[in-house]
Amino acid sequence: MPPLLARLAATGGGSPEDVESDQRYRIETLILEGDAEQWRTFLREATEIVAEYAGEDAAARTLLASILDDQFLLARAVIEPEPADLDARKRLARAGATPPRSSRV
Amino acid sequence: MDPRNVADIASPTNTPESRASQKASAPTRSLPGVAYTDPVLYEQELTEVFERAWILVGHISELSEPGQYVTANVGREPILVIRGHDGELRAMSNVCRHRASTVLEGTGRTRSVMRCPYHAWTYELDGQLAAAPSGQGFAHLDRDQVALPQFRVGVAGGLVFCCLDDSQMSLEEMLGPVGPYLEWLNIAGLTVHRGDDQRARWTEDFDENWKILADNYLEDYHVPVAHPSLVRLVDVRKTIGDNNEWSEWSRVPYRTRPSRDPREREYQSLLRRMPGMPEEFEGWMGHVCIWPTTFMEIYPHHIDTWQLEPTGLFTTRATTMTMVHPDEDDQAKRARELMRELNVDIMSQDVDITTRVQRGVQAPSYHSGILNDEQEFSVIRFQQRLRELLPRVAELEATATGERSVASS
Repeated sequence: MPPLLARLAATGGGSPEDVESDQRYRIETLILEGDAEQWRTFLREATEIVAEYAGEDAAARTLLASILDDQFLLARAVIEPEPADLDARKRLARAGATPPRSSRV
Repeated sequence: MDPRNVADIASPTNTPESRASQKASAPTRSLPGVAYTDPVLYEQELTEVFERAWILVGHISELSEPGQYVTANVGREPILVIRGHDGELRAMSNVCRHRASTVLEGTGRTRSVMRCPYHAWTYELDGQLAAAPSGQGFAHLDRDQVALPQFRVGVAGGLVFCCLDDSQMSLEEMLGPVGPYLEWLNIAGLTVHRGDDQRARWTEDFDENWKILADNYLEDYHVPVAHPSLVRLVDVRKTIGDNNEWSEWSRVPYRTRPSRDPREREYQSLLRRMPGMPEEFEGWMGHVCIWPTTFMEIYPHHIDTWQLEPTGLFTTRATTMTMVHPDEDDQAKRARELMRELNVDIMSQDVDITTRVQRGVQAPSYHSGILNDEQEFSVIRFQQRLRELLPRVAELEATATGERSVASS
């Protein structure tokens, strides 16, 4: 998502390459060493980033929001959702996420 | 409870007197031996018997909270029954719509969704697909159109049943007099016992066709011959009960004379009714048979269900679920453990018999046997239902009859 990476880089995250590398490292660390709560924390932060910075590219925004929304839906298999997760999913819905009817926020 | 139902329980139709006068006008023959070995009939049994009947899947205490579930097999269909967030009890296929892994196993409680362990496809508690990992890789997946197929679920006397066939009779109709009997016993007030390994079900695999095991359970003609400990504990001649075409209950009085066996004497000394069990059940042991293969043993101190599931033409799995009072005391626990020990012996005696029968039904010289109207009436009724439901039985009987005619001519 070049536009998103560029926006994040412009807010002080370093070059777009650095931002991408940092995010990739964080996700890999999460997969290899993280737990469910850290996963949830990452999802909430990523949701805020998408909601705040991915506003201009509608297709990219919808795709990212849908991926994150799926992750929230999948996460319910290992952690009970909290009100903050519901708020996050509402933000994703406004960003264009397309959950199945049964999971609409 | 409906007073009429209490009257039904108090006025059983099956009594020693009624059995003595129960004489068929013509000899009633058992199913032909080939019915226990025929692969075509076996396939019909799966589709026409097990996949159309109400099958016991669990006890209501296992499904009291949202997310609690039980799993079972109904014919060839793995199913699950789960309590939804809306409080509804639902039965549905336990097969993931992606690559067909079972979604849940055993009994327990899932979180707010059900997750397939293969690729983590995740379902809402109502069976609707909620999410699939890497969903953007499915160009043609409409999640709204994917759901675990739903089946019928019914509860009677605290027992939960599932039926795959929408056109079949209601659970209440199939149970007939057994429904009020289960209510009368207050089974809903019990809880499922978990063993030391926390399992709520105990399974045993047998190397016999399922009907040989069912036939054996359904009659007490063999009891005086094969089960000396049962004869010392109960008086089967005084059995009373009631039935419809599909289900029956019966109860048999415990003997009051002390057994000569020390273990049985200890058991006799421990017999007390569980709290909530009706006073009229004092001194009785009960049995329930529900079409096709749900059997129950009702003791004053606990209740076992024993469920047969065909796993092949010559293999059968028996699943036992034990229900106890939530505040089971040491005396009831000891009585339950002693009965379990006695039942291990009884089961061993039955396995010896049914293994012999499995060999015998394959003998070219055996075609079918004559049944005892008085003491094998439940086998007669059970096999009559099979004849009605399975056209293959008539074909096999015609063949067997022809062979017998040739053999005797």
